[in-house]
Amino acid sequence: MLNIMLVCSAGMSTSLLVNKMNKVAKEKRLDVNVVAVAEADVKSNMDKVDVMLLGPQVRYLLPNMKEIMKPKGVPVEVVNTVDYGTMNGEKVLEYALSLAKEV
Amino acid sequence: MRIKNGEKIYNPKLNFIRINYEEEFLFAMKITRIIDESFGIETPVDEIGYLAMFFATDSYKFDKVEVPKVGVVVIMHGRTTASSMVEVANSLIGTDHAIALDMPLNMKPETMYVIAKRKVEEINKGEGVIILVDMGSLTTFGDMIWEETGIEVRTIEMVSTPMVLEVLRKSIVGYSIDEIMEAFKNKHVYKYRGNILEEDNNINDIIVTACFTGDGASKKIANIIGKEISNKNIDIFTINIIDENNLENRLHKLKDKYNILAIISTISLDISWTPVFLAVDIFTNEGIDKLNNIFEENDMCLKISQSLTEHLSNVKGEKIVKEIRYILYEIEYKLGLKVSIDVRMGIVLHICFLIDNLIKGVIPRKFDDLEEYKKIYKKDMKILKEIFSPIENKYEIVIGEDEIGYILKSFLSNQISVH
Repeated sequence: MLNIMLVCSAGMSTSLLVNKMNKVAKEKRLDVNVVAVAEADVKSNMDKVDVMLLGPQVRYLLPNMKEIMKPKGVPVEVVNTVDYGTMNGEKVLEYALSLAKEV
Repeated sequence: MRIKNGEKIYNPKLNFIRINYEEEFLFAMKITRIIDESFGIETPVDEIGYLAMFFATDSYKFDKVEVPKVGVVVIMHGRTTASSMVEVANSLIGTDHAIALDMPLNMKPETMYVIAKRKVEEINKGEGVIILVDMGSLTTFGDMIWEETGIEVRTIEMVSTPMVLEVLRKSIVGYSIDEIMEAFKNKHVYKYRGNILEEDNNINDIIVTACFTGDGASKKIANIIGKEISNKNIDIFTINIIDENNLENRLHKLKDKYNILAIISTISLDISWTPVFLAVDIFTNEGIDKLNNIFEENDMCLKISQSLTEHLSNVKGEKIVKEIRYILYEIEYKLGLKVSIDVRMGIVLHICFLIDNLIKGVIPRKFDDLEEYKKIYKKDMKILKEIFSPIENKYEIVIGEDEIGYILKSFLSNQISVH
């Protein structure tokens, strides 16, 4: 099971994207679970994540998150703005999977 | 012929004619007697009624209601250029509907503007006015008159006699201003300004140029950025700076009606909610680059808003993204910082969903250590709250301190430069 975590400030915009990503994963029969986590809750959920994606407006967290997640072998990147903005579940899922493969 | 074949004709207005066109009716009866005697027929009285109408000169008023027509004004440089052209057009069509305003070379544009504005107000019958001009500062009058009077004015440049004929013909018959302008849609040949929305839902992207009447700046600006916007659906709208006190109010009206991407002005303007360029800035490559960045961002906003329309239940995607875009510029201006385009897009999305959620009654997440944050950033929080006030009123929601905190944090944490 691949656990993907989508981080944004208050979980406002990510929940919808997460739903879409999970839907695509189900259709493609992938063993993937995507969750939306607000910035403040990341620390408490860090054990169950394989790939971490940041919403564009929390990109300032990137350096910090990379530092924390690197030793765990978890890739952290910022989601492409247009894909995020248009809630493109398929593209963002693809991106997350490609990051997971590189590990 | 009809009578010989025994065909009967029915005149529903026979009595009306008999009473209201008595003279013509009696005359027609006399004529009919001659015809009857010459051809050995008996003309039915209904036919006499129709015959009578041929003698009544204003018979066309019968069935038609006086439809208010689009006004037509031709304004051109020269002592008699416009008058001559209008005389030809009016004569060929057989009307006096087109009006000419001559602008002798020694007349100041400001003087002409006042005359033109008055004339438009005079002839407007509620259907708007089309002004046909030749060149120069006259090309900016239309937008300014529209903006100042509220009367819908469209402009056609590089006017020629055939153009006046086309517009005149259509206006007399009662075409609407949109229908008449349809023929002049090809902007490369006939440039026209103040393009209004075809559908109510479409919000037009515009660039506002602000200058003094007739100083020619708007024309130069339009030429320079014309290339950049030639393949985009962006219009240029000119506004008159003359009445400086009222300028802010007028811009606010435009702000609501259109999506103002940028304002290019010959003098410095203090506008917080959209990028403002000085005319001189547009003449540099940097200026053009900045403008192109704005267009790119707007395209992104459009994509986002279209996608949002599917997902948001309580707000209209395009409208709200436009409103939030203004708010973000205002925040950057008043906080004195800038964030990257990616961050801005992310925040746009965040706020869209926030508003939609608040309307739905969803209780948003609490901000950790809000009290601490409030103490440090008290002033900035207040500024943000004020900026969001109109949106709160419009959608009847309250954006609480927690949410303000999150938004402020997104800006402060991501800032890339200071004003």
